[in-house]
Amino acid sequence: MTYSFAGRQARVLHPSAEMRDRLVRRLASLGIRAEGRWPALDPQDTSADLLVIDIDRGESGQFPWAAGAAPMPVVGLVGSETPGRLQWAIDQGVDALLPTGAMANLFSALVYASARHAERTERQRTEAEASRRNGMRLDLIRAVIALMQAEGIGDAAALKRLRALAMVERLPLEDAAQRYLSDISALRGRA
Amino acid sequence: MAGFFLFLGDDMVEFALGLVFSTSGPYAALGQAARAGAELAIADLAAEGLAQITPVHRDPGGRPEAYEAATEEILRTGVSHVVGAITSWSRKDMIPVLERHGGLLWYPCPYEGFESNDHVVYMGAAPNHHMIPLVDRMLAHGVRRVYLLGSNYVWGWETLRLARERLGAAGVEIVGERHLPLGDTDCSRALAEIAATGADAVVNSLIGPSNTAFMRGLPRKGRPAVLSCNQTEADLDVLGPFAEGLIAAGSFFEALGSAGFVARGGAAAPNGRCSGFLATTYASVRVLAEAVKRAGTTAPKVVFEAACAAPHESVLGRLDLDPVTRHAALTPHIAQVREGRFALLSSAPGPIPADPYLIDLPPVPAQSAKTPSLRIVT
Repeated sequence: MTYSFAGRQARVLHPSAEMRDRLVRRLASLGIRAEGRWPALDPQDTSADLLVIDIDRGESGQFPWAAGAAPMPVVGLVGSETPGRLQWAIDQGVDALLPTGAMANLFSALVYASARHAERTERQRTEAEASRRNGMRLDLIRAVIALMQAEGIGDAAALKRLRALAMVERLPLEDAAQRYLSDISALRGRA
Repeated sequence: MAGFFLFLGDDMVEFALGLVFSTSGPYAALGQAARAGAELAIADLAAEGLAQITPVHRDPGGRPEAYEAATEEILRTGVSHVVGAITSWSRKDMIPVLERHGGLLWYPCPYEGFESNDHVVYMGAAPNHHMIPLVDRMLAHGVRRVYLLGSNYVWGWETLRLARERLGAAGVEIVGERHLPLGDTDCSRALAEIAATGADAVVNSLIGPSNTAFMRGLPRKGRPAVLSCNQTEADLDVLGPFAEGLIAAGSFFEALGSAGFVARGGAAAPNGRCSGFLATTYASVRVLAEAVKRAGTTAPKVVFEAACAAPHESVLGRLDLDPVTRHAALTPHIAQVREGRFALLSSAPGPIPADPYLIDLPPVPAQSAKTPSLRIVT
């Protein structure tokens, strides 16, 4: 696919005004409107689509989010290759590295960072979903028991009925269980 | 680096210029055309009293691995500017050497985009100058079934990817795609697939002998439309009557040049034709010389800034260089081979800034309202 960053907003967090300007111009050539920042991002910068940071001089307190939780793709400019700085970049969740001498390859870094950020976001979403469903296990057990009692069927058959309900309603199994429990609760209320 | 630079009086500058063109090997016709353009510009600049340029020639013979050494040899002697490379493969091999030595490559060929290196000036057409208008023309003419064919390196891969994406977005069926190794002349499978799939158009990004073999292998009667972004007058004599009907996108065709330039370009070129490769290389050398003169040095960064500072009147028309993308603004043209010459089919109203990263792609045009072609399924 052809990646296009046209119309995106970026922030450049770098101590050098000259470097900020160069990056802003480079980003503009890719259709990206960028603003430079130093010594820290503004709280409203959470809405930016892309972020370029300096790994050599970056500090943990410069971002309005927790380490590793950047809400956008992050490209890290790398000059010094000291293990400590690289570890800091890893902790910050930098999605792609760009050597300071390779500014001509900014597009590659943005494409790579965008793909990695999309993976990161998807992974966080699936982990959050798994955690939410894990928290509903008790309701699943309750629904299976309620179905066994109401229909006079075994546990496997009750679970099968719940799966069928989930499929018809296009819901995760745990949500279907909650739906069943709330439906029978409503029926009892009306009775 | 500013070696080999002299001011000769008020009007004349003197400097050495590397010319790295494969004038032998699989795409020699293109290298010969480009070199002829450079030599013609050098002769004209000398005759006009503007510049005395000493060319330093290297012929990598179309071997990708030879470009790096050829460029290194030139730059090590203190020469800071090189005009050359035909294929993107060779340009990409030259770039690390240019970076090491602080040299500047003036690249005079159409290419696939997605590059903006500080050591290159992109004088040839970018994808928004060639493939986008070419695909949009195909869509406007109701193409339905397209076969994609290219040489197996980045030019073929990327131009055909772009065609596939844009044609696909418009609902056109891509009936096949094949990439041939550079120099391979066995096109039998592609020809068989084109016949079997009933393609009504072929996007052809082949270069050199592969292209010749393919165009000669296509039946002359009843052949699908063949469209290309890299074919110019430099290819025509070797293709002979087999080029008839070929549609090409480019930033220069003989029909656009002044009669004088086309005649002199033709006289300078080994095949007697004034191609886009010749004209763009000619323009590149002239723009470089004008910028050196304006800058008063051959230092690449200063020369590039001087080249960007003002528009140039060139054989390609008015020519502006963008200091950020480092690309020339060019006027896209589409032409068709009729009786051995490219006849213009359409031209943009004027120069269009290069969009190497395709950040400003026009929306995919709606297909024409022609009745869809139907196939008999047995």
